[in-house]
Amino acid sequence: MATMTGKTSTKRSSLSRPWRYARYVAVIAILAVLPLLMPSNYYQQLFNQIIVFVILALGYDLVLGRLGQLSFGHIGLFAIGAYAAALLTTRLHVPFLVGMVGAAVAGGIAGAVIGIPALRIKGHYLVMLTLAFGEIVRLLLTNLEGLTGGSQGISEIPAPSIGPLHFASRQSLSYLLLAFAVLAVLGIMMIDRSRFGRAFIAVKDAELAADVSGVSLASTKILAFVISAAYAGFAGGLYAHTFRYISPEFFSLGLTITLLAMVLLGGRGSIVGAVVGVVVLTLLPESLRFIKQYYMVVFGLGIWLIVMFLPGGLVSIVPRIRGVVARYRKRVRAPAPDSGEGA
Amino acid sequence: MILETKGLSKRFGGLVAVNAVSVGVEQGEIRAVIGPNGSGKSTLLNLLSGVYKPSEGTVLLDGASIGGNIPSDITRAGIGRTFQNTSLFSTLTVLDNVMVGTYCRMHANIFQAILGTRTARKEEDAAREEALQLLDLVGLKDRAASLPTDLSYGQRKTLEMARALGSHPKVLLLDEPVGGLSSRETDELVRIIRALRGQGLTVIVVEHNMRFIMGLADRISVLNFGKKIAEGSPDEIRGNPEVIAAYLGEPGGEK
Repeated sequence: MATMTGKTSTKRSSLSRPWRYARYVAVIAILAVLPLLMPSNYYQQLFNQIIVFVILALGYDLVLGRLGQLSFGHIGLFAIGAYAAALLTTRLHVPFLVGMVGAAVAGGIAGAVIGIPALRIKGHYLVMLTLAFGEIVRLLLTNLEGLTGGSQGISEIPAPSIGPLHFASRQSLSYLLLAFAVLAVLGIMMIDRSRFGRAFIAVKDAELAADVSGVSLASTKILAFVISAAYAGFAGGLYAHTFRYISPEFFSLGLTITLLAMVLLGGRGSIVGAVVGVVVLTLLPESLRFIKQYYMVVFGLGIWLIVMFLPGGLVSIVPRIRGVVARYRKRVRAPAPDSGEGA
Repeated sequence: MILETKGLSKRFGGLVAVNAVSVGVEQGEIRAVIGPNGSGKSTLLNLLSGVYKPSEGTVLLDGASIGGNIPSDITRAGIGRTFQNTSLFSTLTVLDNVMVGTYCRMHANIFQAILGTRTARKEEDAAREEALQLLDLVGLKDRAASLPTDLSYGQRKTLEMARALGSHPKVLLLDEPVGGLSSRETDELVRIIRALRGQGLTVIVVEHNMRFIMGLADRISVLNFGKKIAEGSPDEIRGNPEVIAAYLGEPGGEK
Protein backbone atom coordinates (compact mmCIF):
# COMPACT_ATOMS: atom_id res chain seq x y z
CA MET A 1 0.00 0.00 0.00
CA ALA A 2 2.78 2.39 0.92
CA THR A 3 4.69 1.87 -2.32
CA MET A 4 1.52 2.58 -4.23
CA THR A 5 1.22 6.14 -2.97
CA GLY A 6 4.87 6.75 -3.76
CA LYS A 7 4.37 5.56 -7.29
CA THR A 8 1.35 7.71 -7.98
CA SER A 9 3.20 10.79 -6.77
CA THR A 10 6.12 10.06 -9.10
CA LYS A 11 3.80 9.46 -11.99
CA ARG A 12 2.13 12.82 -11.46
CA SER A 13 5.33 14.82 -11.68
CA SER A 14 6.49 12.90 -14.74
CA LEU A 15 3.65 14.22 -16.89
CA SER A 16 5.36 15.37 -20.05
CA ARG A 17 5.71 19.11 -20.66
CA PRO A 18 3.27 19.58 -23.59
CA TRP A 19 0.60 17.79 -21.60
CA ARG A 20 1.10 20.02 -18.62
CA TYR A 21 0.77 23.12 -20.79
CA ALA A 22 -2.29 21.65 -22.49
CA ARG A 23 -3.82 21.23 -19.06
CA TYR A 24 -3.21 24.86 -18.18
CA VAL A 25 -4.64 26.04 -21.49
CA ALA A 26 -7.75 23.92 -20.88
CA VAL A 27 -8.20 25.41 -17.41
CA ILE A 28 -7.86 28.97 -18.75
CA ALA A 29 -10.34 28.23 -21.55
CA ILE A 30 -12.90 26.85 -19.11
CA LEU A 31 -12.43 29.85 -16.83
CA ALA A 32 -12.91 32.22 -19.76
CA VAL A 33 -16.22 30.61 -20.72
CA LEU A 34 -17.68 29.95 -17.26
CA PRO A 35 -18.88 33.51 -16.50
CA LEU A 36 -20.88 33.46 -19.74
CA LEU A 37 -22.80 30.35 -18.73
CA MET A 38 -24.52 31.68 -15.63
CA PRO A 39 -28.29 31.36 -16.17
CA SER A 40 -29.26 34.40 -14.08
CA ASN A 41 -27.98 37.39 -12.23
CA TYR A 42 -28.42 35.40 -9.05
CA TYR A 43 -26.07 32.65 -10.20
CA GLN A 44 -23.62 35.21 -11.51
CA GLN A 45 -23.41 36.64 -8.01
CA LEU A 46 -23.09 33.13 -6.51
CA PHE A 47 -20.24 32.51 -8.95
CA ASN A 48 -18.55 35.71 -7.78
CA GLN A 49 -19.01 34.71 -4.17
CA ILE A 50 -17.36 31.36 -4.90
CA ILE A 51 -14.30 33.07 -6.40
CA VAL A 52 -13.92 35.39 -3.42
CA PHE A 53 -14.11 32.43 -1.08
CA VAL A 54 -11.61 30.45 -3.15
CA ILE A 55 -9.05 33.21 -2.53
CA LEU A 56 -9.92 33.22 1.17
CA ALA A 57 -9.69 29.41 1.40
CA LEU A 58 -6.37 29.31 -0.49
CA GLY A 59 -4.87 31.67 2.06
CA TYR A 60 -6.46 29.87 4.99
CA ASP A 61 -4.97 26.59 3.78
CA LEU A 62 -1.45 28.02 4.06
CA VAL A 63 -1.92 27.99 7.82
CA LEU A 64 -4.18 24.94 8.08
CA GLY A 65 -2.84 22.58 5.41
CA ARG A 66 0.78 23.69 5.10
CA LEU A 67 1.81 25.01 8.51
CA GLY A 68 -0.59 22.62 10.27
CA GLN A 69 -2.07 25.17 12.69
CA LEU A 70 -5.78 25.51 13.36
CA SER A 71 -6.95 29.13 13.19
CA PHE A 72 -10.50 30.30 13.87
CA GLY A 73 -9.54 33.91 13.32
CA HIS A 74 -9.55 34.10 9.54
CA ILE A 75 -13.09 35.39 9.19
CA GLY A 76 -11.97 38.22 11.48
CA LEU A 77 -9.11 38.89 9.06
CA PHE A 78 -11.54 38.66 6.14
CA ALA A 79 -13.74 41.25 7.89
CA ILE A 80 -10.79 43.56 8.53
CA GLY A 81 -9.94 43.45 4.82
CA ALA A 82 -13.56 44.10 3.83
CA TYR A 83 -13.88 47.09 6.16
CA ALA A 84 -10.45 48.44 5.19
CA ALA A 85 -11.34 48.42 1.50
CA ALA A 86 -14.85 49.76 2.12
CA LEU A 87 -13.70 52.60 4.36
CA LEU A 88 -10.79 53.56 2.13
CA THR A 89 -13.01 53.85 -0.94
CA THR A 90 -16.15 55.34 0.65
CA ARG A 91 -14.53 57.74 3.14
CA LEU A 92 -11.16 58.56 1.62
CA HIS A 93 -12.27 57.97 -1.98
CA VAL A 94 -9.05 56.21 -2.91
CA PRO A 95 -8.98 54.18 -6.15
CA PHE A 96 -10.13 50.56 -6.01
CA LEU A 97 -6.66 49.01 -6.32
CA VAL A 98 -5.22 51.25 -3.60
CA GLY A 99 -8.07 50.16 -1.33
CA MET A 100 -7.31 46.53 -2.15
CA VAL A 101 -3.66 46.95 -1.23
CA GLY A 102 -4.87 48.54 2.00
CA ALA A 103 -7.12 45.53 2.62
CA ALA A 104 -4.24 43.07 2.13
CA VAL A 105 -1.89 45.12 4.31
CA ALA A 106 -4.49 45.52 7.09
CA GLY A 107 -5.12 41.78 6.97
CA GLY A 108 -1.40 41.03 7.02
CA ILE A 109 -0.74 43.25 10.03
CA ALA A 110 -3.65 41.69 11.91
CA GLY A 111 -2.26 38.28 10.91
CA ALA A 112 1.02 39.13 12.60
CA VAL A 113 -0.98 40.03 15.72
CA ILE A 114 -2.40 36.50 15.92
CA GLY A 115 0.76 34.92 14.49
CA ILE A 116 3.09 36.19 17.21
CA PRO A 117 1.22 34.53 20.10
CA ALA A 118 1.03 31.40 17.93
CA LEU A 119 4.79 31.05 18.40
CA ARG A 120 4.24 30.12 22.03
CA ILE A 121 0.68 28.89 22.06
CA LYS A 122 -0.35 25.62 20.45
CA GLY A 123 -3.31 23.34 19.90
CA HIS A 124 -6.43 24.07 21.93
CA TYR A 125 -5.09 27.32 23.28
CA LEU A 126 -4.34 28.67 19.83
CA VAL A 127 -7.88 27.75 18.82
CA MET A 128 -9.24 29.71 21.79
CA LEU A 129 -7.00 32.67 21.04
CA THR A 130 -7.92 32.90 17.36
CA LEU A 131 -11.58 32.35 18.18
CA ALA A 132 -11.43 35.26 20.61
CA PHE A 133 -9.72 37.37 17.96
CA GLY A 134 -12.54 36.78 15.48
CA GLU A 135 -15.19 37.66 18.06
CA ILE A 136 -13.33 40.79 19.18
CA VAL A 137 -13.16 41.97 15.57
CA ARG A 138 -16.89 41.44 15.17
CA LEU A 139 -17.67 43.26 18.43
CA LEU A 140 -15.46 46.18 17.45
CA LEU A 141 -17.12 46.42 14.05
CA THR A 142 -20.52 46.48 15.74
CA ASN A 143 -19.62 48.98 18.44
CA LEU A 144 -17.25 51.44 16.78
CA GLU A 145 -20.29 53.03 15.15
CA GLY A 146 -18.59 56.27 14.17
CA LEU A 147 -16.05 54.44 12.05
CA THR A 148 -17.83 51.30 10.90
CA GLY A 149 -21.47 52.28 10.85
CA GLY A 150 -22.17 49.77 13.62
CA SER A 151 -24.69 47.04 12.91
CA GLN A 152 -25.96 49.10 9.96
CA GLY A 153 -22.70 48.33 8.21
CA ILE A 154 -21.36 50.19 5.19
CA SER A 155 -23.39 50.47 2.03
CA GLU A 156 -22.89 52.02 -1.40
CA ILE A 157 -19.39 50.62 -1.72
CA PRO A 158 -18.38 51.47 -5.30
CA ALA A 159 -18.00 48.80 -7.96
CA PRO A 160 -14.36 48.14 -8.82
CA SER A 161 -12.75 50.22 -11.50
CA ILE A 162 -9.19 50.16 -12.75
CA GLY A 163 -8.27 53.18 -14.85
CA PRO A 164 -10.82 53.38 -17.67
CA LEU A 165 -12.21 49.88 -16.90
CA HIS A 166 -15.37 49.89 -14.84
CA PHE A 167 -16.63 46.56 -13.52
CA ALA A 168 -20.21 47.52 -12.79
CA SER A 169 -21.98 44.47 -14.24
CA ARG A 170 -21.79 41.23 -12.36
CA GLN A 171 -20.47 39.44 -15.42
CA SER A 172 -17.58 41.83 -15.93
CA LEU A 173 -16.91 41.56 -12.22
CA SER A 174 -16.66 37.77 -12.63
CA TYR A 175 -13.76 38.23 -15.00
CA LEU A 176 -11.99 40.65 -12.71
CA LEU A 177 -12.39 38.27 -9.77
CA LEU A 178 -11.23 35.33 -11.87
CA ALA A 179 -8.09 37.23 -12.79
CA PHE A 180 -7.36 37.84 -9.11
CA ALA A 181 -8.09 34.19 -8.31
CA VAL A 182 -5.66 33.01 -10.99
CA LEU A 183 -2.99 35.28 -9.51
CA ALA A 184 -3.82 33.95 -6.04
CA VAL A 185 -3.43 30.36 -7.25
CA LEU A 186 -0.13 31.19 -8.97
CA GLY A 187 1.10 32.81 -5.76
CA ILE A 188 0.33 29.68 -3.75
CA MET A 189 1.93 27.46 -6.40
CA MET A 190 5.10 29.55 -6.29
CA ILE A 191 5.17 29.40 -2.49
CA ASP A 192 4.59 25.63 -2.52
CA ARG A 193 7.58 25.16 -4.81
CA SER A 194 9.88 27.46 -2.85
CA ARG A 195 11.99 26.91 0.23
CA PHE A 196 9.23 28.62 2.22
CA GLY A 197 6.59 26.12 1.11
CA ARG A 198 8.85 23.24 2.12
CA ALA A 199 9.59 24.94 5.43
CA PHE A 200 5.87 25.31 6.24
CA ILE A 201 5.26 21.60 5.69
CA ALA A 202 8.44 20.67 7.54
CA VAL A 203 7.15 22.58 10.58
CA LYS A 204 3.83 20.75 10.33
CA ASP A 205 5.40 17.30 9.96
CA ALA A 206 8.15 17.53 12.59
CA GLU A 207 8.74 20.85 14.29
CA LEU A 208 11.93 19.93 16.15
CA ALA A 209 13.45 18.30 13.08
CA ALA A 210 12.66 21.44 11.06
CA ASP A 211 14.36 23.55 13.72
CA VAL A 212 17.57 21.49 13.78
CA SER A 213 17.53 21.36 9.97
CA GLY A 214 18.00 25.13 10.05
CA VAL A 215 14.40 26.33 9.60
CA SER A 216 13.75 29.21 11.99
CA LEU A 217 10.41 28.33 13.58
CA ALA A 218 9.53 31.88 14.60
CA SER A 219 10.02 33.56 11.23
CA THR A 220 8.47 30.63 9.35
CA LYS A 221 5.29 30.64 11.43
CA ILE A 222 4.94 34.42 11.33
CA LEU A 223 5.48 34.38 7.57
CA ALA A 224 2.77 31.76 7.03
CA PHE A 225 0.31 33.68 9.21
CA VAL A 226 1.04 37.01 7.54
CA ILE A 227 0.71 35.74 3.95
CA SER A 228 -2.37 33.77 4.87
CA ALA A 229 -3.87 36.86 6.52
CA ALA A 230 -2.99 39.08 3.56
CA TYR A 231 -4.92 36.65 1.34
CA ALA A 232 -7.85 36.81 3.77
CA GLY A 233 -7.73 40.62 3.84
CA PHE A 234 -7.56 40.83 0.06
CA ALA A 235 -10.47 38.42 -0.29
CA GLY A 236 -12.38 40.57 2.21
CA GLY A 237 -11.77 43.66 0.07
CA LEU A 238 -13.06 41.81 -2.99
CA TYR A 239 -16.10 40.72 -1.00
CA ALA A 240 -16.89 44.33 -0.09
CA HIS A 241 -16.65 45.49 -3.71
CA THR A 242 -18.62 42.50 -4.98
CA PHE A 243 -21.62 42.82 -2.65
CA ARG A 244 -21.29 46.60 -2.25
CA TYR A 245 -22.65 46.29 1.26
CA ILE A 246 -21.08 44.81 4.41
CA SER A 247 -22.24 44.47 8.00
CA PRO A 248 -20.78 42.71 11.06
CA GLU A 249 -23.38 39.95 11.16
CA PHE A 250 -22.05 38.39 7.97
CA PHE A 251 -18.63 37.73 9.55
CA SER A 252 -19.99 35.32 12.12
CA LEU A 253 -18.61 32.32 13.91
CA GLY A 254 -20.79 30.21 11.61
CA LEU A 255 -18.84 31.47 8.61
CA THR A 256 -15.60 30.59 10.39
CA ILE A 257 -16.79 27.00 10.70
CA THR A 258 -17.90 26.97 7.07
CA LEU A 259 -14.44 28.10 5.96
CA LEU A 260 -12.82 25.32 7.97
CA ALA A 261 -15.30 22.80 6.57
CA MET A 262 -14.59 23.96 3.01
CA VAL A 263 -10.88 23.29 3.30
CA LEU A 264 -11.29 20.01 5.20
CA LEU A 265 -13.92 18.73 2.80
CA GLY A 266 -11.95 19.62 -0.32
CA GLY A 267 -8.65 18.43 1.07
CA ARG A 268 -6.18 20.49 3.02
CA GLY A 269 -2.78 21.28 1.63
CA SER A 270 -4.13 21.13 -1.92
CA ILE A 271 -5.06 24.00 -4.26
CA VAL A 272 -7.63 21.87 -6.07
CA GLY A 273 -8.96 20.82 -2.67
CA ALA A 274 -9.61 24.41 -1.62
CA VAL A 275 -11.45 25.12 -4.88
CA VAL A 276 -13.52 21.92 -4.69
CA GLY A 277 -14.40 22.54 -1.04
CA VAL A 278 -15.61 26.09 -1.68
CA VAL A 279 -17.62 25.10 -4.76
CA VAL A 280 -19.29 22.13 -3.04
CA LEU A 281 -20.11 23.95 0.18
CA THR A 282 -21.48 26.97 -1.67
CA LEU A 283 -23.61 25.03 -4.13
CA LEU A 284 -24.75 22.34 -1.71
CA PRO A 285 -26.98 24.67 0.34
CA GLU A 286 -28.48 25.89 -2.93
CA SER A 287 -29.21 22.45 -4.30
CA LEU A 288 -30.48 21.18 -0.95
CA ARG A 289 -32.94 24.06 -0.49
CA PHE A 290 -35.90 21.76 -1.03
CA ILE A 291 -35.16 19.86 2.18
CA LYS A 292 -34.99 23.13 4.13
CA GLN A 293 -34.21 22.61 7.80
CA TYR A 294 -32.84 19.11 7.21
CA TYR A 295 -30.00 20.69 5.29
CA MET A 296 -27.86 20.93 8.41
CA VAL A 297 -28.39 17.21 9.06
CA VAL A 298 -27.21 16.28 5.58
CA PHE A 299 -24.36 18.77 5.89
CA GLY A 300 -23.23 17.42 9.27
CA LEU A 301 -23.48 13.83 8.12
CA GLY A 302 -21.47 14.63 4.99
CA ILE A 303 -18.65 16.24 6.97
CA TRP A 304 -18.64 13.32 9.38
CA LEU A 305 -18.39 10.76 6.57
CA ILE A 306 -15.55 12.66 4.90
CA VAL A 307 -13.58 12.91 8.13
CA MET A 308 -14.11 9.20 8.79
CA PHE A 309 -13.46 7.75 5.37
CA LEU A 310 -11.61 10.42 3.39
CA PRO A 311 -9.34 12.25 5.81
CA GLY A 312 -7.50 13.71 2.83
CA GLY A 313 -10.72 15.35 1.61
CA LEU A 314 -12.54 14.96 -1.71
CA VAL A 315 -9.35 15.40 -3.76
CA SER A 316 -7.87 12.28 -2.19
CA ILE A 317 -10.42 10.21 -4.10
CA VAL A 318 -8.41 10.52 -7.33
CA PRO A 319 -5.10 9.01 -6.14
CA ARG A 320 -7.10 6.43 -4.24
CA ILE A 321 -8.94 5.24 -7.32
CA ARG A 322 -5.65 5.30 -9.23
CA GLY A 323 -4.10 3.14 -6.52
CA VAL A 324 -6.93 0.62 -6.65
CA VAL A 325 -6.76 0.46 -10.44
CA ALA A 326 -2.97 0.04 -10.41
CA ARG A 327 -3.18 -2.73 -7.81
CA TYR A 328 -5.89 -4.50 -9.77
CA ARG A 329 -3.90 -4.29 -13.00
CA LYS A 330 -0.80 -5.58 -11.29
CA ARG A 331 -2.67 -8.55 -9.88
CA VAL A 332 -4.14 -9.36 -13.28
CA ARG A 333 -0.90 -9.02 -15.21
CA ALA A 334 1.79 -10.48 -13.01
CA PRO A 335 1.28 -12.42 -9.81
CA ALA A 336 5.04 -12.30 -9.14
CA PRO A 337 6.24 -9.70 -6.60
CA ASP A 338 7.51 -6.42 -7.98
CA SER A 339 11.29 -6.71 -8.32
CA GLY A 340 11.82 -2.99 -8.91
CA GLU A 341 10.97 -2.04 -5.35
CA GLY A 342 13.12 -2.37 -2.21
CA ALA A 343 16.82 -1.74 -1.80
CA MET B 1 39.75 22.86 17.92
CA ILE B 2 36.51 23.06 15.96
CA LEU B 3 34.14 22.21 18.78
CA GLU B 4 34.76 22.62 22.46
CA THR B 5 32.66 22.41 25.58
CA LYS B 6 33.75 23.89 28.90
CA GLY B 7 32.15 22.69 32.12
CA LEU B 8 28.93 21.88 30.31
CA SER B 9 26.09 20.84 32.64
CA LYS B 10 22.41 20.09 32.30
CA ARG B 11 20.09 19.60 35.23
CA PHE B 12 16.50 18.35 35.08
CA GLY B 13 15.10 19.23 38.49
CA GLY B 14 17.36 17.36 40.89
CA LEU B 15 18.85 15.08 38.24
CA VAL B 16 22.20 16.09 36.78
CA ALA B 17 22.08 14.52 33.31
CA VAL B 18 25.33 16.09 32.14
CA ASN B 19 27.82 17.14 34.79
CA ALA B 20 30.63 19.60 34.02
CA VAL B 21 31.70 17.92 30.80
CA SER B 22 34.64 19.45 28.94
CA VAL B 23 35.60 17.98 25.60
CA GLY B 24 37.54 19.27 22.64
CA VAL B 25 37.18 17.92 19.12
CA GLU B 26 39.67 18.63 16.34
CA GLN B 27 38.60 19.44 12.82
CA GLY B 28 38.28 16.33 10.65
CA GLU B 29 38.11 14.05 13.66
CA ILE B 30 35.63 11.24 14.14
CA ARG B 31 34.78 11.36 17.83
CA ALA B 32 32.65 8.71 19.48
CA VAL B 33 30.73 9.30 22.70
CA ILE B 34 29.94 6.11 24.55
CA GLY B 35 28.59 5.15 27.94
CA PRO B 36 25.97 2.97 29.62
CA ASN B 37 22.28 3.78 29.25
CA GLY B 38 21.38 7.02 30.98
CA SER B 39 24.96 8.24 31.09
CA GLY B 40 24.04 11.53 29.39
CA LYS B 41 25.16 10.88 25.80
CA SER B 42 21.92 11.95 24.17
CA THR B 43 21.59 14.91 26.52
CA LEU B 44 25.06 16.00 25.45
CA LEU B 45 24.04 15.86 21.77
CA ASN B 46 20.90 17.83 22.60
CA LEU B 47 23.03 20.47 24.29
CA LEU B 48 25.39 20.69 21.33
CA SER B 49 22.52 21.05 18.85
CA GLY B 50 20.55 23.56 20.92
CA VAL B 51 17.60 21.28 21.63
CA TYR B 52 18.40 21.80 25.32
CA LYS B 53 19.83 24.96 26.86
CA PRO B 54 22.86 24.37 29.08
CA SER B 55 22.35 24.89 32.83
CA GLU B 56 26.02 25.83 33.07
CA GLY B 57 29.08 25.97 30.88
CA THR B 58 29.70 26.94 27.30
CA VAL B 59 29.83 25.43 23.83
CA LEU B 60 32.32 26.91 21.38
CA LEU B 61 32.15 26.32 17.65
CA ASP B 62 35.25 27.56 15.88
CA GLY B 63 35.94 29.67 18.94
CA ALA B 64 32.53 31.38 18.98
CA SER B 65 30.08 30.69 21.78
CA ILE B 66 26.86 29.01 20.61
CA GLY B 67 25.64 27.64 23.94
CA GLY B 68 22.03 28.63 24.61
CA ASN B 69 21.26 29.55 20.99
CA ILE B 70 18.14 28.14 19.33
CA PRO B 71 18.62 25.03 17.16
CA SER B 72 18.13 26.72 13.77
CA ASP B 73 20.79 29.32 14.61
CA ILE B 74 23.20 26.60 15.69
CA THR B 75 22.54 24.72 12.46
CA ARG B 76 23.23 27.88 10.50
CA ALA B 77 26.44 28.33 12.48
CA GLY B 78 27.57 24.87 11.35
CA ILE B 79 26.29 21.96 13.43
CA GLY B 80 24.00 19.39 11.81
CA ARG B 81 22.46 16.38 13.51
CA THR B 82 20.36 13.25 13.11
CA PHE B 83 17.95 11.68 15.58
CA GLN B 84 18.09 8.34 17.32
CA ASN B 85 14.71 7.23 15.96
CA THR B 86 14.75 9.40 12.82
CA SER B 87 12.48 12.40 12.50
CA LEU B 88 11.69 12.98 8.85
CA PHE B 89 9.05 15.14 7.12
CA SER B 90 6.58 12.42 6.28
CA THR B 91 4.50 14.32 3.71
CA LEU B 92 7.47 15.74 1.79
CA THR B 93 9.28 13.69 -0.84
CA VAL B 94 12.74 12.30 -0.13
CA LEU B 95 14.23 15.06 -2.31
CA ASP B 96 12.26 17.79 -0.53
CA ASN B 97 13.38 16.43 2.84
CA VAL B 98 16.97 17.05 1.83
CA MET B 99 16.07 20.42 0.32
CA VAL B 100 14.69 21.53 3.70
CA GLY B 101 18.25 20.97 4.88
CA THR B 102 19.48 23.51 2.32
CA TYR B 103 16.89 26.09 3.50
CA CYS B 104 19.22 27.99 5.80
CA ARG B 105 21.80 28.55 3.07
CA MET B 106 19.29 30.05 0.62
CA HIS B 107 18.77 33.80 0.41
CA ALA B 108 15.78 34.50 -1.87
CA ASN B 109 13.10 36.31 0.11
CA ILE B 110 9.38 35.56 -0.06
CA PHE B 111 8.69 38.18 -2.75
CA GLN B 112 11.42 36.83 -5.00
CA ALA B 113 10.06 33.34 -4.43
CA ILE B 114 6.46 34.31 -5.32
CA LEU B 115 7.52 36.30 -8.37
CA GLY B 116 9.91 33.55 -9.46
CA THR B 117 12.77 35.95 -10.12
CA ARG B 118 15.92 34.71 -11.78
CA THR B 119 17.88 34.75 -8.56
CA ALA B 120 15.22 32.68 -6.82
CA ARG B 121 15.00 30.15 -9.67
CA LYS B 122 18.78 29.81 -9.95
CA GLU B 123 19.11 29.27 -6.24
CA GLU B 124 16.29 26.72 -6.26
CA ASP B 125 17.87 24.79 -9.15
CA ALA B 126 21.25 24.80 -7.42
CA ALA B 127 19.68 23.54 -4.18
CA ARG B 128 17.87 20.74 -6.02
CA GLU B 129 21.06 19.74 -7.82
CA GLU B 130 22.96 19.63 -4.57
CA ALA B 131 20.22 17.68 -2.80
CA LEU B 132 20.33 15.10 -5.59
CA GLN B 133 24.10 14.81 -5.17
CA LEU B 134 23.65 14.23 -1.45
CA LEU B 135 21.04 11.57 -2.17
CA ASP B 136 23.49 10.00 -4.58
CA LEU B 137 26.13 9.98 -1.86
CA VAL B 138 23.90 8.03 0.51
CA GLY B 139 22.56 5.79 -2.26
CA LEU B 140 19.01 7.14 -2.42
CA LYS B 141 19.05 9.05 -5.69
CA ASP B 142 16.58 6.71 -7.35
CA ARG B 143 14.16 7.20 -4.46
CA ALA B 144 14.08 11.01 -4.75
CA ALA B 145 10.37 11.14 -5.58
CA SER B 146 9.29 8.61 -2.94
CA LEU B 147 7.91 9.49 0.44
CA PRO B 148 10.06 8.72 3.51
CA THR B 149 7.41 6.25 4.68
CA ASP B 150 8.19 4.12 1.61
CA LEU B 151 11.82 3.68 2.66
CA SER B 152 13.36 0.97 4.79
CA TYR B 153 14.56 1.82 8.29
CA GLY B 154 18.17 1.95 7.16
CA GLN B 155 17.32 4.17 4.20
CA ARG B 156 15.44 6.55 6.48
CA LYS B 157 18.55 6.88 8.64
CA THR B 158 20.78 7.72 5.69
CA LEU B 159 18.14 10.11 4.33
CA GLU B 160 18.24 11.97 7.61
CA MET B 161 22.01 12.19 7.30
CA ALA B 162 21.68 13.64 3.79
CA ARG B 163 19.22 16.21 5.14
CA ALA B 164 21.68 17.21 7.87
CA LEU B 165 24.44 17.55 5.26
CA GLY B 166 22.23 19.91 3.27
CA SER B 167 23.02 22.71 5.70
CA HIS B 168 26.78 22.29 5.02
CA PRO B 169 27.68 21.57 8.64
CA LYS B 170 31.21 21.85 9.94
CA VAL B 171 30.32 19.32 12.61
CA LEU B 172 27.84 16.47 12.13
CA LEU B 173 26.24 14.87 15.19
CA LEU B 174 24.95 11.33 14.72
CA ASP B 175 22.70 9.85 17.41
CA GLU B 176 22.97 6.04 17.26
CA PRO B 177 23.26 5.92 13.45
CA VAL B 178 23.58 2.14 13.13
CA GLY B 179 20.98 1.03 15.69
CA GLY B 180 18.67 -1.36 13.84
CA LEU B 181 20.82 -1.50 10.72
CA SER B 182 22.01 -4.71 9.08
CA SER B 183 25.76 -5.32 9.02
CA ARG B 184 25.81 -4.60 5.29
CA GLU B 185 24.07 -1.25 5.87
CA THR B 186 26.48 -0.55 8.75
CA ASP B 187 29.51 -1.12 6.52
CA GLU B 188 27.99 1.21 3.93
CA LEU B 189 27.51 3.88 6.58
CA VAL B 190 31.13 3.54 7.72
CA ARG B 191 32.19 4.08 4.12
CA ILE B 192 30.04 7.22 3.83
CA ILE B 193 31.25 8.70 7.13
CA ARG B 194 34.88 8.10 6.16
CA ALA B 195 34.30 9.75 2.79
CA LEU B 196 32.78 12.80 4.51
CA ARG B 197 35.67 13.04 6.89
CA GLY B 198 37.94 12.94 3.87
CA GLN B 199 36.26 16.20 2.81
CA GLY B 200 37.10 17.78 6.17
CA LEU B 201 33.84 17.15 8.04
CA THR B 202 34.05 16.60 11.79
CA VAL B 203 31.77 13.83 13.07
CA ILE B 204 30.58 13.21 16.61
CA VAL B 205 28.79 9.92 16.97
CA VAL B 206 26.86 8.44 19.89
CA GLU B 207 26.57 4.70 19.49
CA HIS B 208 26.20 1.42 21.40
CA ASN B 209 27.57 -0.82 18.69
CA MET B 210 31.19 -1.30 19.89
CA ARG B 211 32.44 -3.03 16.77
CA PHE B 212 31.25 -0.04 14.72
CA ILE B 213 32.77 2.47 17.16
CA MET B 214 36.13 0.74 17.52
CA GLY B 215 36.52 0.47 13.75
CA LEU B 216 35.51 4.06 13.01
CA ALA B 217 36.40 6.48 15.79
CA ASP B 218 39.70 8.37 16.07
CA ARG B 219 39.03 9.14 19.70
CA ILE B 220 36.40 8.10 22.19
CA SER B 221 34.91 10.01 25.12
CA VAL B 222 33.26 7.89 27.79
CA LEU B 223 30.41 9.21 29.92
CA ASN B 224 29.02 7.66 33.09
CA PHE B 225 26.33 9.26 35.27
CA GLY B 226 26.73 12.47 33.27
CA LYS B 227 30.48 12.77 33.89
CA LYS B 228 33.32 12.20 31.50
CA ILE B 229 35.31 9.31 32.97
CA ALA B 230 37.77 8.63 30.18
CA GLU B 231 38.98 9.83 26.81
CA GLY B 232 41.45 8.37 24.36
CA SER B 233 42.07 6.24 21.30
CA PRO B 234 39.97 3.09 20.84
CA ASP B 235 42.90 0.97 22.11
CA GLU B 236 43.33 3.09 25.22
CA ILE B 237 39.61 2.96 25.97
CA ARG B 238 39.43 -0.80 25.45
CA GLY B 239 41.95 -1.38 28.22
CA ASN B 240 40.78 1.35 30.60
CA PRO B 241 39.75 -0.27 33.92
CA GLU B 242 37.35 2.57 34.78
CA VAL B 243 35.48 2.11 31.51
CA ILE B 244 35.27 -1.63 32.00
CA ALA B 245 33.95 -1.03 35.50
CA ALA B 246 31.33 1.40 34.22
CA TYR B 247 30.01 -1.13 31.77
CA LEU B 248 30.30 -4.27 33.90
CA GLY B 249 29.82 -2.81 37.40
CA GLU B 250 32.42 -2.01 40.07
CA PRO B 251 34.60 -4.96 41.05
CA GLY B 252 33.98 -5.46 44.75
CA GLY B 253 31.67 -2.41 44.96
CA GLU B 254 29.11 -2.12 47.76
CA LYS B 255 26.11 -2.06 45.43
